[in-house]
Amino acid sequence: MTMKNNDDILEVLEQHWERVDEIAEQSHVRVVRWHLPESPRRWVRSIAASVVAIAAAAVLLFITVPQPDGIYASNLSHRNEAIEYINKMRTEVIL
Amino acid sequence: MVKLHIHRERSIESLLKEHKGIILKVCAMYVPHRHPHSEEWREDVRDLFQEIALKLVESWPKYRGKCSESTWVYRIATNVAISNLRRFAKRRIVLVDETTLDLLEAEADDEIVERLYRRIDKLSDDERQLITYAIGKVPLKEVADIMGLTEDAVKHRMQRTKEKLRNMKDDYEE
Repeated sequence: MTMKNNDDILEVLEQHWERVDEIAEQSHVRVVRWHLPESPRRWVRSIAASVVAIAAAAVLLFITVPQPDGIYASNLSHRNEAIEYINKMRTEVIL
Repeated sequence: MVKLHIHRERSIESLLKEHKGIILKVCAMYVPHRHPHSEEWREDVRDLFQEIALKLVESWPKYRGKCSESTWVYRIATNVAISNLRRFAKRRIVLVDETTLDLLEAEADDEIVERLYRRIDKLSDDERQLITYAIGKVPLKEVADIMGLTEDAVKHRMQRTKEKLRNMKDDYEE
């Protein structure tokens, strides 16, 4: 390419841009999708879902795992009966 | 007449497929050519390309079709190039293949093109923007809207910038 005088300079730029266009046509641009910023709404949704899941797990654990006295918290009437029985026994022993 | 605003979903891939030429040209215009054949230059091109691509996707929902899509891309790309030149994101999300960078480097290797870019590097942000729009054939009215000037003022400044670029002396001539 030649630039005989300075008047050609913008023509040189135009020709150069045409070649850059050709380069762009052949180019391959890849996007790594999982790094794209997520929308705040999606973040709020995922946090809310986590909180609900943790709360559900805590309730399930409280209901199904026996308390230290061997009585399931899920059956509160049994628990109350047991406490009443123990108190009665204690009273009898003291008396 | 009721004007309908249709929300058009547009993926980053389709935007890049259509406008990667403009993005590459803006990268070539704005990444300084102090070290055109260095890893530093290639890294700057990769960074600027990514920043422009991400800004296009982020801004797409706000595009209302008041100007042509290519003008909108030129506007976003030059704004990113001017404002973000020194604070690029470190994470690599948009990947330009090495062959494209090789070809771009080889293209800039031409003595005349190198001289041209050394002159462009000396222009102010506004002047570089005007030359970019002029060579990109962005309509005068749209350039006036983007730059907040009258069409006459744009015409006058464009002419002055072209003259400045033509009359600029190369480093070795000084």
